Amino acid sequence: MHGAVAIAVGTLALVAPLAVGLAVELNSDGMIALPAGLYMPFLRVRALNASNADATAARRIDAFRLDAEPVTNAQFLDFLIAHPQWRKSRIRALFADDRYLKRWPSDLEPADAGARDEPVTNVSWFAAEAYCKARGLRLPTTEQWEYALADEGRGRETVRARSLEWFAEPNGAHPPSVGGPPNGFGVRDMVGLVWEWTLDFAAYARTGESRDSDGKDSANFCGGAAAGVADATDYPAFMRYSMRASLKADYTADNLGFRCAGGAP
Amino acid sequence: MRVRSFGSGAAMAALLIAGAAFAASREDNLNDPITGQENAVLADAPNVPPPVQRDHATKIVVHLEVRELEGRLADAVRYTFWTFGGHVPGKFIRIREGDLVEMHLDNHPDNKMPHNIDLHAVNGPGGGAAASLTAPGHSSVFSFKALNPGLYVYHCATAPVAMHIGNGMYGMILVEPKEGLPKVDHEYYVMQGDFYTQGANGDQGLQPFSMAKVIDEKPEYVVFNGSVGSTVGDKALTAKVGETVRLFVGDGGPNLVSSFHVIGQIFDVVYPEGNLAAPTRNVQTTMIPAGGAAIVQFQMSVPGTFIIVDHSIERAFNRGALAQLKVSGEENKLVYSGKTFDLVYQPEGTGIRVAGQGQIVAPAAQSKAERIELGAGVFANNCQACHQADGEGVPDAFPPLAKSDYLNGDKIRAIKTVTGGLETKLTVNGHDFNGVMPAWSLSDEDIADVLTYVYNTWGNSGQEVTPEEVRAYRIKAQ
Amino acid sequence: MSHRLLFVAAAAALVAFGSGAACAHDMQHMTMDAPAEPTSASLYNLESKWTNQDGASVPLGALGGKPVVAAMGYTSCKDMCPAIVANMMWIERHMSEDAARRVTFAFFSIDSAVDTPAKLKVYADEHGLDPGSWTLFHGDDDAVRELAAALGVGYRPDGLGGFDHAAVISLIDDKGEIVVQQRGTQASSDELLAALNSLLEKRN
Ligand code: HEC
Ligand SMILES: [Cu+2]
Repeated sequence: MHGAVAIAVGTLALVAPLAVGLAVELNSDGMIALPAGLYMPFLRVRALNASNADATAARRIDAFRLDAEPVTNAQFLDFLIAHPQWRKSRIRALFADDRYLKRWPSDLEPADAGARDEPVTNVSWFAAEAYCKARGLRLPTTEQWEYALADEGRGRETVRARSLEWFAEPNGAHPPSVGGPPNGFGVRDMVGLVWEWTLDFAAYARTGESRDSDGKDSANFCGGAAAGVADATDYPAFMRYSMRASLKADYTADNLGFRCAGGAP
Repeated sequence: MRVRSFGSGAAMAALLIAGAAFAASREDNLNDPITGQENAVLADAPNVPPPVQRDHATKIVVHLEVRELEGRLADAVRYTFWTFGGHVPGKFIRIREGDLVEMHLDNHPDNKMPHNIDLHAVNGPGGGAAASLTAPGHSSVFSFKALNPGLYVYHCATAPVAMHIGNGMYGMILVEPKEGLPKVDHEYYVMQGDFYTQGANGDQGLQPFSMAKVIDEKPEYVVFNGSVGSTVGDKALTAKVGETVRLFVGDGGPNLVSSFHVIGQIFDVVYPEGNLAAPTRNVQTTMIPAGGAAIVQFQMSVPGTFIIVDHSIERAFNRGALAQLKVSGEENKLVYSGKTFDLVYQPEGTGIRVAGQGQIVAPAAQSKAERIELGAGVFANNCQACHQADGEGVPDAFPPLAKSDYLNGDKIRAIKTVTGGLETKLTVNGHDFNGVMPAWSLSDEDIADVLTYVYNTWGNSGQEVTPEEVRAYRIKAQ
Repeated sequence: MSHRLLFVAAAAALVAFGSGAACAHDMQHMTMDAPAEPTSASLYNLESKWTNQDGASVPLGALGGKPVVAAMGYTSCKDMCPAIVANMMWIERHMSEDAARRVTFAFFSIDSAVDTPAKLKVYADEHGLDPGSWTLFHGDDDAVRELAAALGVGYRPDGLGGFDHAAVISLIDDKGEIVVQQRGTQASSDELLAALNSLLEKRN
């Protein structure tokens, strides 16, 4: 059905879905199988000697698996039991700042019983990657994550509206628990709970300053230039890229969590 | 009253003009040696830090803490503000030209968003923005040398910029010339900003930011110092007759340009665009660009309440861009006779105020007590700006509702005033008024509620007005 | 940038001598000073494996015991990397011969697919990088990603077989902790050089 409908619905739209007859599959490991497809990147990055056309071209995303929900405190606890070097008393300063697992009163104790189903927060990129690797997975790339959010153009307005609402809600003592409504792929809680790490968050390091008109800051960055964005009215997308740009791999924050990705099933 | 060194407006203006040769060159400021180190003294609007007393350049350490906080945008309207220092506008920073500023941007761990800072006082890429993108719970540090004196806006420039500014992320930095500024009796900080809520102006509760409205440049609120009524009543600016006042005025935007005006007060001196080198004199309204500033100075000649507005006037009366300067002291009938006044704003007849569409229909009152309670909200949103929270009005401009003989004398006349507006001369408690009371397109229910509230407050007669009475009046009037 | 490229040749000539002797000297340092357990903030907590331009496998921790001037790039980069390398050579050239020998200049390739050790060797020779003080490293995707994360070097494929990446030169102390970083090729290397010299003085 969405084969035709999804075409050119805007920024994050899938321009021409390659997979027909998409089945929402929740595997026993809590992961969703996402079909291969084309995806229109929000940031138009133009290589130094490439044409503008290249920058605006849709990108092909291979099929992959993605956690249906952000990783919870309960899941992270299991990881810490098996991998003591990532407990808060043991973590090396190289891998996380002082607020690592801030809400955890002690090494193997997520804030309280209610916190078990909340997304784990205050984890660094290093810790998130280590967790995913321990499951034989990786963090999703930024493109994979954005592709899952774009959801073939479905629910675009809902995503934007929910994002803006979430921006206006001050951080609570705890993030809400996982288990929100699924999008068309079956993926949940991509907005409204936490920001999420991506594997290559640092690849977008220059985008916090969006006013750089030609985008080419030759003194600091090699080769590429952001030749604009696909939709300048998509404020939540700007915000996601700014957030990624503001991070370093050892940073942790009260509203920053993650989920894992893997290859095609 | 304090004894002052210069008594007349002319003398002050002369002094200020004499200062026109302000400003060392960029080179001078670049080479000005740095001695010592200080922590910046910062101030929240409407206050301003004290003048710089130093005769040399120093290193100034500035800590700006970014806080995302829920606060009051208007009565019963809440909003999540993003702030430099906990308030909108951000902390006022005051330094001297030649100073070396070490800027710390501290993004509080409770925050959700990354932020940065672009100071228009900086010569360098992004005005510091490129060096200061900061994740929640982290700090960025950079430094700059103040090469050009003047009054400058600073703001967050993180993408999407209009949202960061639209949520209140702006403030000002004053780079004083070496000579300092001429002494005045009062200095105040006033900054305009436009806000874009999903609900229409007056819709109650926590209002989310509207992406669509900011893109259309159609704000619901235009305010001074961060909220409707931030600077009125007991929070008004104050001065005495004979004193000199300097306002540091900025416009954070994100979108609107301000036609800055003080009703009934001519600016003796204006430093347009915050430029200290070329002051102008005898100005009525000065234009302040979004992301720009101006310094205005004047001497108070007569007492009264002076209303500060964006003279793009719909914003003042319907969106909140209104503040007050209350001046006490002796009348001077020669300067101002007190019989006419400068407050007729009706370019096209009596303005009809249309309540916003899509407004949630309020539940109807079931009793007089409920009517009074609901009426208080209607009053705060629609009437208070002119008649004041204490119902006392503003002398010579807006008549009092408290113990008003006009009001208490005739209920039907009161209903007529609110439904149909009023612009004929009238006398309230022995004082003449000849202003414009707009006609209100409020529902019968709202008018009944607000009048019942007014009648049952401030020692008024205690009557009730019902929607039926309002409806009956309307039918009869047709 | 072009004037920097010019002095690459000159710098190469300057540092070319003295390399043979330095090698043996280095090995000694490594075994003597390398700490057993890296400090908490040390880069040597990274367990990634690398291969040098001579094809020898080297754990990152083997760099410990000496200050390191490190950068990431790739050999086919025509834009920023030559400038990064030239900046590093400028630093080397502005040190005394003796001091330069007590420092490792490390270039980590982000192009795992193309920059084989052999390719790195050719690059080193072409640029006249003194094998006594310079090491060029090849690592797999994971090693590159981890090190880039720890050094704060953003990079991404540019879609044309190359990469966009940040130009960052890091000064790392003998324990593996970052002392100072120089971002951008137009920035002066004076600060980094001064920090390096004071590190070396402390060790004396
Ligand atoms: C824009 C300013 C403004 C606003 C807002 C405003 N008024 Fe008035 N009001 C006036 C002026 C001016 C007069 C006197 C009119 C004249 O001189 O003809 C007046 C007169 C009145 C009077 C009769 C005089 C008296 O003091 O008893 C009443 C009653 C009154 N207003 C009620 C209200 C109510 C209720 C509201 C809110 C629904 C309201 N006004 C909102 C400006 C305003
Ligand atoms: Cu901001």
